[in-house]
Amino acid sequence: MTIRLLDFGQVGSLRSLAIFHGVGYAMREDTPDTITITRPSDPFVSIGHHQDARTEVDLDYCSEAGVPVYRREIGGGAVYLDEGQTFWHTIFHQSRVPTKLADVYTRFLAGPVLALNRMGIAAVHRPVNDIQVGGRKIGGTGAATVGESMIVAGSLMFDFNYELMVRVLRVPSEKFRDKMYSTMREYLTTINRQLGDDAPSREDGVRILMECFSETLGAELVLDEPRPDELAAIAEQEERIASEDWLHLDGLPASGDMVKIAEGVKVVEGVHKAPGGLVRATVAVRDGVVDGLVLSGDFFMEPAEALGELQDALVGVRHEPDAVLGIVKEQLGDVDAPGLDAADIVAAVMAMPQE
Amino acid sequence: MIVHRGCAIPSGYSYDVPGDLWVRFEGDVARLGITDVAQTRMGKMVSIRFKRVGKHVAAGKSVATVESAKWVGPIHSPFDGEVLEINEEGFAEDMLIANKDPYEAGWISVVRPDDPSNAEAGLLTDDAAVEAYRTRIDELEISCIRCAD
Repeated sequence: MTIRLLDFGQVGSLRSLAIFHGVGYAMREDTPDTITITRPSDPFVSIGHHQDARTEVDLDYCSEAGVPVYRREIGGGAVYLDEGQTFWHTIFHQSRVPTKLADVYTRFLAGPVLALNRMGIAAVHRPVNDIQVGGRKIGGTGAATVGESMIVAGSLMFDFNYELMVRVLRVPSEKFRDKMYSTMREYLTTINRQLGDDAPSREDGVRILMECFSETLGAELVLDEPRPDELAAIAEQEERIASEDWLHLDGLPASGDMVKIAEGVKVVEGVHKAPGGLVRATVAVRDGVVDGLVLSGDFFMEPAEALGELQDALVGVRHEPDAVLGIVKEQLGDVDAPGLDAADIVAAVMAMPQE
Repeated sequence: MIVHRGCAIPSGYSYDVPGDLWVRFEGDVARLGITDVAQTRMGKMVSIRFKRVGKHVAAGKSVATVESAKWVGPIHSPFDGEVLEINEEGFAEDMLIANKDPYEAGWISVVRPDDPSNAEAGLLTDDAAVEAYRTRIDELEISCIRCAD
């Protein structure tokens, strides 16, 4: 068994996105399963498939800074990307991937995890789709059905610009931005941060990744060139992704082709004094559901990653005391947090008045 | 109603079995939705984007795209037609509506086929649908799970 490898090297940011969309759309049942590699030459912001660009991204800032904003057909949140990341995409016909999404991730994340291990990073796959090292995320992953293909996307994150990441986002307040920055620094790491001078070069990193994909997928990777129909599909995707219509997919209320269910975001800031210390919560609530959350304070929590995991677990939960309490209790199961119990966290997250 | 490995296959519907889509013809229009298998495979939905009312959709093109926690994908129309209604209200009220009740409250869109006489081509009904879906469920080795109310 072989898998085709299309290594596009360093390309413009628009093309880096268009490549995996184009190869995905051009895939038919008789197309060989393919892995693509790209590295953007210029910075850009990539928004999730269902995000609203105006709501999520400071478009004025991006325009002034010359940072283009593109919508991708992969879910998740807005992210600032640049040449610090090398993107990989597994593009397999959907008839040749596991039925269950969790199994899809298990199969395709094994290679990247092994590659990080070979570089000297003790990364693990944390289901469903996180790759973590010591409780910190190292890059993001996602999956989408594009045409007849199932695409799993990820990156070798050599470097990440935390400052610009939080700068390009629209946030409820500067305080929220500051907290988001410190939280991101704490819970998101990179290959260079982990390995310093021992980090491999980009070329070596890609070579290691390809060896590991080959081993974990049990197939030889064969370097190939894109076919003419794939190049045509990539060009078509470049045009689409660069268009204002695609970026502002929902258009104005009375226009556009599509309509999305979304509500406005409100921000709740809560402070609660617990015996173990002060708990501060800044919560973005969209349509009654926690959309983003930063917890901070002077309390103690061990293991260190527990706070980040608690924050992640609360995203998507209804902003109601019972719902929040259920998740907090579940998350704090084996966590050592003296003088702090689930009700204290709930009080901060719900911004309950304290006597 | 047939239930196979926990997956409901109700009667009275036409099915695009490989597309995990159901169609219910109501006069000269068709109501579309996803099957129990589809909602199980995608998991809890977090977002949906509908093709607007009044837009024309070609067979095999999406009437909506859905995003679940870890995946994004399209819901295809099985025929050419015009979008007449979308279940905007249902999903606005409860994003998990199709995870909970895929065949009724969780419908996606109502489409008027351009050629009603040919709209059922490629769809299966009755015993043929049940048999094909049983086979698909066995091949996928899937057991359906619904979100609780």
